[in-house]
Amino acid sequence: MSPSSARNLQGTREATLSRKDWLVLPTVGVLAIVLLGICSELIAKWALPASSQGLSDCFAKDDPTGNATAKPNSVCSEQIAESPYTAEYRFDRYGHRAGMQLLSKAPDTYRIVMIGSSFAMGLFVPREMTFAALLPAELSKLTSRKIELYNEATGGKYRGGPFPTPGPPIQFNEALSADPDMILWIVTSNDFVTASPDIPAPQLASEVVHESDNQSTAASSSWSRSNLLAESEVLTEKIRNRFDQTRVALLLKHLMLESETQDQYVTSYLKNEDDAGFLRSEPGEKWQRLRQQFEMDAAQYEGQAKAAGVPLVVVFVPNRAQAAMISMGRWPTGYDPYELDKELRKIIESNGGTYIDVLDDYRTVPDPEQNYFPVDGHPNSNGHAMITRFLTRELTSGAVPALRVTSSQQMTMAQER
Amino acid sequence: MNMDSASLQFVLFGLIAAIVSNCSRSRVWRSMVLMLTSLFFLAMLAQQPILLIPLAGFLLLGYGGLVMVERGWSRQAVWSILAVIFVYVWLKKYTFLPGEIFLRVPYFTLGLSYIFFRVLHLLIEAADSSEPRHIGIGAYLLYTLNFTTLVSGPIQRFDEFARDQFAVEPIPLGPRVVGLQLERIVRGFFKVNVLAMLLHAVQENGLEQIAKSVPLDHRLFAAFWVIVAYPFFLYANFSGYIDIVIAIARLMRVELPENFDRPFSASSFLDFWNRWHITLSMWLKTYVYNPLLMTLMRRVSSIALQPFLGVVCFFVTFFLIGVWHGRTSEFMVFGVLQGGGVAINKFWQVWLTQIMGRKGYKELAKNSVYISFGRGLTFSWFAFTMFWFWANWGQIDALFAAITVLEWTTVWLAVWLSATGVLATWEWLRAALLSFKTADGPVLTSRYARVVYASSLGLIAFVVTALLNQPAPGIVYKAF
Repeated sequence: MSPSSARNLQGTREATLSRKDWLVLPTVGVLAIVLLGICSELIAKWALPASSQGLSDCFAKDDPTGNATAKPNSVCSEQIAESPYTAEYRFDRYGHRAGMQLLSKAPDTYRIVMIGSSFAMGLFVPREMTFAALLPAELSKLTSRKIELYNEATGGKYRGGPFPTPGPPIQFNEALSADPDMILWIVTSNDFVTASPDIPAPQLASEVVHESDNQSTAASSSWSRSNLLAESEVLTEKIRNRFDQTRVALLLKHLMLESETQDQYVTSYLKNEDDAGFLRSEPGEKWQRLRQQFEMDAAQYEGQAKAAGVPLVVVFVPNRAQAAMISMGRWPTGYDPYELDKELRKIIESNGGTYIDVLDDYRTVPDPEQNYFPVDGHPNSNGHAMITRFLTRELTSGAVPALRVTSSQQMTMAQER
Repeated sequence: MNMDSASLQFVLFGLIAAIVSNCSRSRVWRSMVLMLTSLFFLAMLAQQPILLIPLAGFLLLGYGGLVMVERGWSRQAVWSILAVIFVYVWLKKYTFLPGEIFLRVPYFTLGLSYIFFRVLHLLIEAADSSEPRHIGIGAYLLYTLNFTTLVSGPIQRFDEFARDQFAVEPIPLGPRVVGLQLERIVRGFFKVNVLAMLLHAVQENGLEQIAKSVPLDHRLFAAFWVIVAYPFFLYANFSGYIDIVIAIARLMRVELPENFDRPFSASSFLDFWNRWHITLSMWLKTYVYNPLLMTLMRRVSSIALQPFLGVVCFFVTFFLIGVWHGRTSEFMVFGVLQGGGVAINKFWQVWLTQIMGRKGYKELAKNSVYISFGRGLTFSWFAFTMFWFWANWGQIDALFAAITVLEWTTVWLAVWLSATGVLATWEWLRAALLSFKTADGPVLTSRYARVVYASSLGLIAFVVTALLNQPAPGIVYKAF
């Protein structure tokens, strides 16, 4: 027998598969996948437990805009998978996680009204650990004045607004009606996205997906332009979205992000142009449009604040990737983590407001990204403590005359820590 | 499209090519499909046809030489071989050539190294062959541009390729073979996109830790992981891609040669090179080691010296393997370390045989403790040589300056002992698991176990690629 025919005979023998196997093998494959999937999900749920009910219980279910504040005097609690704590949300009669009842101000009290979005609200963190709770105590200690902070910031249904969201003047008037000595506005990069009045948050997200689809379509070959491929991309996107909702996905992302070095994390973050667009040294068209919209809102607030004779102090708090970039002190060409900060300072100061810069403080912290929930991106309890330190230092450094303390007092405070 | 890596697009492209190729058993049809898919593959990689002109010139040069040798101008074979080597070195821009002679325009060189080996193989075989034979331009192009072996090999012999590709009755392809190939594709995809990616992250992490001013024990651990992670990363990256292309080729009814055979089970550095990038080392053993040894044996008459000729020949052969990997001086050192490794290994064998006798050495070589420590040492040496493979001089300097000589010695000792222990445990575990058998063979290699294994790996690979949402990582060996 020649080697060739021997090989062919062997192959023919290989080619046979019993009828039973035609049924058993696919079943075994499917069972293996299902079993592995279920086991992984159960392990992930055990490793990262989360409450089934949450913050959304405090919001009206029939609000199509997603901009409504919480139900007055409502209480709810939520533990997200990434947090070791169950955070209680206790909203006052105005729907704010204020931490105090809004009564008439005592004569010796300096009242700060804080506005902003989910960072300032202290989303997913127990209130006593948020910077909204920690800041007045620190400021009081340092300035020897009684300082209280009424927190009007809210995550909203879509964890966005209300500052800035559609109808800002009314909401800003609410802040002014709280009789503040100062309005502290905490801004994050996400607030620029939610600033667009004509695009509610969920629609904006879909627009982002649409834009990226267009970009990839334009860049790819004619093969990828076919309808078949477009449909398969939609299907892939659906599968990916479905997968993203599983606890396994969350656990894997969490572990991956937590174990990444700053370099690895920043490199992979910047690959997602939609998320990282605001970090570009020359922002694209979308971000220019968002900045213009934000500028209009900011001018309106500053006009209202000026008319009421209340100082408006604005602080920009970086997101996780931005904090990592600043701490590293280097970033790829075409990116600049200070760019939005500089732009914001220009916008605020051109309208007569006070801008406080905390970004440089992040340079002093090694691995500040560890102070955020890795996947969710909000600051964790350590992050809130860190922001408290930065805000205390900057607010008392002289930018706000009423809170100014001497450098020796600041030194004493630092030594106490 | 990311077609030069183990991406989903490449796998789908290969599977579609295999389906179309199997629409007819005719060799003309199969060759036509392979030619069209290979040209399409090349076009997708090069983007612009003009970039392919130097590659086309190189192929023409090789074919011209082949035709001349086939027509009996055997004296031209040496000149053709030299011309092919020179043009290859020139196109690859080896740094020992003056920079002024290089082409200033951009051009496509992906896969040129593997084409080079195939062209040289054809020329040498044609010159050595006593029987005249003719290889048509179509067969030549199919062999050299075959998309399954273009990017990173394996380096297949022409006779093996022709036996399958041009067979009147193609090799059978039943459901079991298809199942095994699909399992192999999943395994390869998993290796490149999950395992290699994780190991790469471990190495990167280690490098960052070493550079930081962290406590000494952290830096020592980091150095340990930098050393250990890269060989495994390279294995997962390269062998994973090879798994995919071997499976795709088999689905197109061509059997490619294996390139890996559990290399970290090797108990000596010589054995390692029988298991790592097998087709490359076989090629060089055939066309460098054997002729060189024959020549030296003819010229050196001393019987006492003859056992040591192998030492010299091994050094030259594996030095060339090292040098082939890159164009810079780092790869010269890499070559010296590879050549030095196998030469010392051969010398050790010859010396031990001389002092212990053939029987005594054979007994020692069977000793499990000796094998385990040899395995650990082989791994450690290979890991050491890898520094000149992945790093440049600046990085190597920084790395060695990060901790003291004594600390590095401690780390290398730890690597050796750990590799000895871990690899011995792995071998024992593997043997124990494979000892569970039914009438059809080991339970772990049964089709049911393979389906479970492939389904699980497939799911994990899908989850990780979906999670990362990034292009597939590049194949290291495509750069060579």
